[in-house]
Amino acid sequence: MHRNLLVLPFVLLGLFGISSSAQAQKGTVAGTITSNEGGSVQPLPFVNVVLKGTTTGATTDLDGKFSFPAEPGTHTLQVSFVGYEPAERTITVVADQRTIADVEMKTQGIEMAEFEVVQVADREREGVLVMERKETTAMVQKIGAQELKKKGAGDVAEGVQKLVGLSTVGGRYVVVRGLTDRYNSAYLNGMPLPSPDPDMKVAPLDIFPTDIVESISVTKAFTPELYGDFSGGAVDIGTKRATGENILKVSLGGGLNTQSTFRDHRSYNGGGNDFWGRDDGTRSIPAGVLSQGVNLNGERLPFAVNFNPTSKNAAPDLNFGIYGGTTFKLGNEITLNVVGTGNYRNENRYRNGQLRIINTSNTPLVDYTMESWQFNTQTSALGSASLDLGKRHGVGVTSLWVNMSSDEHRINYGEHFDYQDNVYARRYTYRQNTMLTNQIFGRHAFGMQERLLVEWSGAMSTADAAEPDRRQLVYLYTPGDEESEYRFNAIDRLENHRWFSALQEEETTARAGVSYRLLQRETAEGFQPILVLRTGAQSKQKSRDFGYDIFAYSLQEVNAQNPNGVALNNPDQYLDNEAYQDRTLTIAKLTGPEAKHTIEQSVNAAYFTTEVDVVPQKVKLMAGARLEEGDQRIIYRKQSDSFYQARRVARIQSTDLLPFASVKYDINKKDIVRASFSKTISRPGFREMAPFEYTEFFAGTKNIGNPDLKNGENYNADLRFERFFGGGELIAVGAFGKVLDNTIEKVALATASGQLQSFRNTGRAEVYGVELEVVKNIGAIVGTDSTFWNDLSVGMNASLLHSQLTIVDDRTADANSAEVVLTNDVRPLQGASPYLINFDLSYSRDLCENVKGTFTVAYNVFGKRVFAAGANGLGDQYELPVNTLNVVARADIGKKWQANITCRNVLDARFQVEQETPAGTSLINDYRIGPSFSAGISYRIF
Amino acid sequence: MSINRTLAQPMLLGTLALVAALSMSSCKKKEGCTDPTATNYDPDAEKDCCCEFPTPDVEQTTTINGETYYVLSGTISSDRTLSSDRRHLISGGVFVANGSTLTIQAGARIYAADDATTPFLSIQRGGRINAVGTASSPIVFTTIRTITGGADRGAWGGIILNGYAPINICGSSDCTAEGEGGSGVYGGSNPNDNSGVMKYVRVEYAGKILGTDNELNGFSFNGVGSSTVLEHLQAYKGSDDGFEFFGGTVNLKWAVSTGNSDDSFDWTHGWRGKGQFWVVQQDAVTGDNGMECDNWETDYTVTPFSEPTISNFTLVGADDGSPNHGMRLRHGTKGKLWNGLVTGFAQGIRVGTECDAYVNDGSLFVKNSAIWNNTANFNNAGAIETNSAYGNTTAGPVLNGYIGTEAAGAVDPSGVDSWFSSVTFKGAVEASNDWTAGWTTSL
Repeated sequence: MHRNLLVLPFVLLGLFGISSSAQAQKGTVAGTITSNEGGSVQPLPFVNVVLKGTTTGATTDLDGKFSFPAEPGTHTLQVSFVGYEPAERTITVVADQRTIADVEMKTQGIEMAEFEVVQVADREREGVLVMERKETTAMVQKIGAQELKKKGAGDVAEGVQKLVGLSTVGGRYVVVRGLTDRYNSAYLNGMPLPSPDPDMKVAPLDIFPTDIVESISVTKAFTPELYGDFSGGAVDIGTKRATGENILKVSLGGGLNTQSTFRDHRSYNGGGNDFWGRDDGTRSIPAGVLSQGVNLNGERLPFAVNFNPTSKNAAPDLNFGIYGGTTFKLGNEITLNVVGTGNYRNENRYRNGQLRIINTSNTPLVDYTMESWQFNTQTSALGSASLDLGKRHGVGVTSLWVNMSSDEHRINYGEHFDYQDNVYARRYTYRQNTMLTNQIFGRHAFGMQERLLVEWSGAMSTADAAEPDRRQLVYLYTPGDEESEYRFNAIDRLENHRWFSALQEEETTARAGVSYRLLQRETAEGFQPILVLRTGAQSKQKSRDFGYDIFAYSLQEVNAQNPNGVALNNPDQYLDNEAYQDRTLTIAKLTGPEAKHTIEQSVNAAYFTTEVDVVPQKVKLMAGARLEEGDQRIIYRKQSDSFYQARRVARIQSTDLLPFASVKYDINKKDIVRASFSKTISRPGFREMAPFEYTEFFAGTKNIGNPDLKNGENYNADLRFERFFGGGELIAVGAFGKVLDNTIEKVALATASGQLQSFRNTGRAEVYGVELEVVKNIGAIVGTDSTFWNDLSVGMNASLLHSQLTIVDDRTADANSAEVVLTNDVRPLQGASPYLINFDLSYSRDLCENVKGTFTVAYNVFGKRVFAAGANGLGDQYELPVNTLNVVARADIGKKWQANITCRNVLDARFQVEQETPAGTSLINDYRIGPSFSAGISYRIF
Repeated sequence: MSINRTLAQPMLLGTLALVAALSMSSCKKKEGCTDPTATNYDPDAEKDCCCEFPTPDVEQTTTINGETYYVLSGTISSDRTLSSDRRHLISGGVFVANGSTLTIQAGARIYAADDATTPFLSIQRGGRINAVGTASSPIVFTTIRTITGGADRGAWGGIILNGYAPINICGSSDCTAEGEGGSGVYGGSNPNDNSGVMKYVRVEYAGKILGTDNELNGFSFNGVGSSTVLEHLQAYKGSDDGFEFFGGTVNLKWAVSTGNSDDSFDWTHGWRGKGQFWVVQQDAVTGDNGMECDNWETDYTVTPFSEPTISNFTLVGADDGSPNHGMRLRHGTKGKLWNGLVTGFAQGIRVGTECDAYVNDGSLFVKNSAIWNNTANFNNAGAIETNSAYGNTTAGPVLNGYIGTEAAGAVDPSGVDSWFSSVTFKGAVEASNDWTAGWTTSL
């Protein structure tokens, strides 16, 4: 009996097919739909079963079973499901009798290609995800591994861009409905995911290769089980899970970028393990340096002599991976599923462009040409095990390790208004970000009809971001100077330096939740919930330690000894041990009091929701609230502090009650309307509340945090209409509106020096928009049986968005602060595009016997969006629309081999940022990354 | 129902206990001070013990080369006197708060610590400095490395006065701005504001570089009002500007800028004060402009305009071929200058084209001055070069360093404004009256 609880939603679905029990003259069609994967026959849920040329049909339940009444006679039974070859059976229906039609479906080549996960509720498949979406009360959008592959998404950041209303900044940071980092949150398997980037709340999503992903889901409307610190979207990355079959697959691929590969690639002498993205210690601060005091006075130069640039030919991109999984049957109804995957990829990339700072006369104050050569690696390992103890109990663990490295040789050269000469800055930056998370989770059902359900989880994570031994030398030159005639910029002592920074973050989270069906009704099909209560508690404890050391090279004496100039490409000759010993070169450790800080955050919450079937099978109401208590503090010193002074503490404590209500109305079996209302909060980012000054990049704007920040408050409303056609097809239209109060905004402050930005609770923003989403088979649209059209499917989503932020300068609240000098008090939110369009067209068919071809074109464009707010009479900076076109071709050869060719950025999009001034508009940032082509094969060993 | 309830309660308790258990990140507790405001705070400590707190009433001291130094750090929020019989050490920024006065006795020596902090003295708006030295007992601010060895430019951040006088970079009448290096907020709507008095004060080895475009000068006058008295000040060997005015209305008489590696005098953001007897002596190692004069680089036409009135200045370049200027008038500045001597630079007077209109309408001029022995005496100087009625010459007197004047062709500035001393010579220092003697340091 209790099994009915689990399958209840699907039984309900099946009921759609049974319109009335008083149809005595009709017969019944029933059967089981299965799939055969490598000899293992599995029931296939959510499959569309219809009588050809009619609307009569049903959808299979979790056990692959279906049943529906039909007029007597001979019919053609059509069985279809995304990822499977459509099947047809001729059946004869006799009045008052039951006709059994069992069908075993064959996967399409595209599925075999993955050699992955063909199982009950396989969330990698689009069709399954669409069904889940139909059932859920919450507004969730998902994209599975299959669709990600099909659309050529190599990482999660590229993947989320396929969803309606989502885009990214810089291909890394997610923007949901025009709301940037602050308004979003990230989860891994439902547990909070730490960010290895100190400036960002949400982890850069490009660190997760799609190879470890089962599905990505984005919740755009708050429910009380989520942490309250979001308004845009909560991204949940579901990692691969064991599927019950034995599998082992290896893959290998290579690629090239038109403006990078086989071209000159500048670098420097790094470490021996750089290929693997792990510094071998070469970049560590040498032993004994830190104990030497401010002015290094050891006998020998402690640092390596390694400022010279090197040059080589850029090798092609490389990637390889392994994926395996198995299931152990440990007893009756007890199974242990294990899955593991490891992936590595690297790339060489070059880009060049312009970097300008202009004034209101549209005259550049800074006009640099930027050239950057990067070697990037990404390594990930995922291990997951789950133990199923019958239907009632299950526990599991997941461990994920991600390592990402970026090694950059960058030069900026050109004019700076403050120097008589031109500036040439060369910087070597090695960044290594590592994240490890260990999760444990379980699920237990109790009581009659399993009316009590307990779910719990816990995770411990660490995230490290290191920037060891960044090296920078800045030269001055006059245009036309020979390479040997440059001078070091010796005036600005900090410009010539070695920098070492490290950030360590630890996070522990726990959650326990209980769901209890207080009232239920027994029907012929099983128990239906009438009133469900859910409650639970969550806790997140997080700490971060950040610190840096900077060693400034004083080069005045080097300049003095080389009156005819220094060699631009051989600086090492002036910076060696000899120079150090004769004091031509002196080095000072200029690590200031602001160099180290600690941040602690504690969030504890309890939630309660109730779900009521107001009108059975028609109207479902869900309401609840979350009580969240937050306490975050930063322990720091300012740049202007002394070590004689005590550390400073800035602290924000808050208790928020976050209400929520949503309603789901099933108009009929296809059409659903949902509405949702909620209140959420925005906590200040860790760095935003830290009042020390830092610069984002060479010649970049300075930022200083504000310890007086408060939480922002967000009010959200959503309305959505969806029509589900079965087989993964749907059309959805949505509208939403948000009011963001006390928004925390980055503001420009009047300052004596250059540019200074800080953060204030000065804004009130309104965001509203509409969203459209279509997933359709073209054949169904055109209304044809033509094979060509039926092999063609289209996916499209678009959003129109209006956002308006109003900035109020509240200097009156604190007279002793600098004035906000933003040019426009009213503007769109930063990162919010007025429109977003994602479009993909996919064609899939048999090329010849045993070879299945799939061809996908995916296009994405975002409208002009605010890149940064303009200040001091300068207009806002706008990032111009970027048209991205990816083309993916895949071939599945037999059951073991799969090959793919992916072309990314076929249009060679230009990334441009423009700024208006009273004297005209200028491009202040302008570069291309070039198209990339990659090819790969994978082989399934068993 | 009852069965379920009896089951539910222990389960709920059990799971909550699990949450609590998982919340504890570690079982072993390291003992140490967990209060971050304590001086011995240990971020890794989990079990609290033995915290020590700074005692603000007790003066902190440190010993360097056997001498006791009294440490100044943080904010001074009541009147305080620095005596001349003690050695004082500044560590980090020292702020004199609104309503407080810092008095410094003649002859006092104040050292900037060499401890990787950014030492500076900042008088906040409403606070005052009362530093009156004498020619024989000047007040000297320098780096501790003059004692420990290796004194060099850029060792500390100098003296910063923040006032309530107007600045022009916000587009509002009560603009407030953040100073360089977190040195305080300045600006307001009171042109007559008073930040105190400084006489016979020498600042050495200042000009801490905090990053491109972000340097602390020898003396920074940020929105300082006209009731403030500044006389007999020297900025010696700084790595940024010697004297920089960020808006304000303050006047400066008898000032020496020696061997500063950026600009010797610099004004921007709407300075409208007066100046007389200014000396610039660059050295061969570095040196940018004798005077760098801006309204604002970001928007040339913000008001109030930089529009000072200056007489009697001697700008001596290093004459070493570096691409410097005697006077760089640019980014929308206005100004009236008389009786100058400008020599030894790559370019004597260079005017940015954005200031052409002000040269043409006479709101920016240099008159009755000698500009000679520069690689190019003028660059785009318009009427300053060509209008013979301005009385500028390209021949000048023989100077002994910066000492020497020329009477011929000079005007008496006291006729313009009674603040000016009545003199009739070009240049800042007469050979017969070397007011720089005794209290300044030379190259």
